Amino acid sequence: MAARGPLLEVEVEVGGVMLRARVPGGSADAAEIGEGDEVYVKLPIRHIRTLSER
Amino acid sequence: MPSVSLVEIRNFALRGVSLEVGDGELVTVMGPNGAGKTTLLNVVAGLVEYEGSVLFDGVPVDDVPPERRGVGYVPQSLALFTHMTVWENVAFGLRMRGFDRGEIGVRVEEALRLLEISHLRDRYPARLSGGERQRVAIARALAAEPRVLLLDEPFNDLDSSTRRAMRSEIRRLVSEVGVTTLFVTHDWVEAEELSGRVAVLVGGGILQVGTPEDVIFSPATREVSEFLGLQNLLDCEESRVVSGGLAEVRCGGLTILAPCEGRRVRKLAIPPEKVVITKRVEGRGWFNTFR
Repeated sequence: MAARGPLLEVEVEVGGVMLRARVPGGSADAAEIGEGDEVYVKLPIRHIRTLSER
Repeated sequence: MPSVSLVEIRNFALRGVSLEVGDGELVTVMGPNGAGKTTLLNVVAGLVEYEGSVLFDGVPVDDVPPERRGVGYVPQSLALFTHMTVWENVAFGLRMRGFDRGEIGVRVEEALRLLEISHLRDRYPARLSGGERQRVAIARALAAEPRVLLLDEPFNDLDSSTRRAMRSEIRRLVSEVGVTTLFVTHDWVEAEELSGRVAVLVGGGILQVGTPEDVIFSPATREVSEFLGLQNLLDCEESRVVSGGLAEVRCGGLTILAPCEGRRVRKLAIPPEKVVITKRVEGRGWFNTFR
């Protein structure tokens, strides 16, 4: 995905959980996706921060 | 090595900053552009005017000129002299401080050895890679055996694998040399890997100081939360360690594969800009892909 234009913030519900995503406004993915569309959501493991029991 | 205390520091960029850095501790300073991070380092180095007080081991150094504060500084630009070899660059600060030739030789050789760049001694900066230039700048800062080390976004221009290597290098150096260090970065991975404590500086004020976990999962103010950009905070109901430092974690209706350290995961945070939304999944798909 090439980052062009300002970031768009969107909310997406997946598995009953509401997530926020920021996508480049000029990207192909952002252009293709409209409100109410079914989409895939990917959560890259290396960018997930975890808080563990101490 | 001394502890460093900043007491109510004020100037054109900072508004009443107080911070304690323990003897031999590495504290990361994070914040958005223009927050005053570089100015904070310049205050410790004595390079800008300020009100308030900087203390090394409880002794004010406000009237001590920069060259006598015992501070090693690696600026963002690295500021290597292009017309000098690696050896000459590392020796430069020592020469300026009036060390004799024998002492300069010993200290430069030790700094080159510590940074594992002895083989580059006769090269000019133009013939060095980004990571090698970085090592030279750090060697120069360490050669004078500083009491305090200041690193201003030192890995900015490096590719990700070199950044990784340099992170582990800094970890090794801080534990080997034990120098009290202030490290400015934008990068959470660097902050988490390198430091036990993070200070978040926004608009010239420190809004929170804590462990990386505390700051991420319990941001003290809305500004800290906005700076972190971690609005996706999920409570985890179940967590099962799988393998290779990963856990399968259930948050609401999602089962997410997440990094873990072998303990039960209680919460997850996912930066919105790292959440990928797409209409198609190509190839065999990824872990953590949901529809």
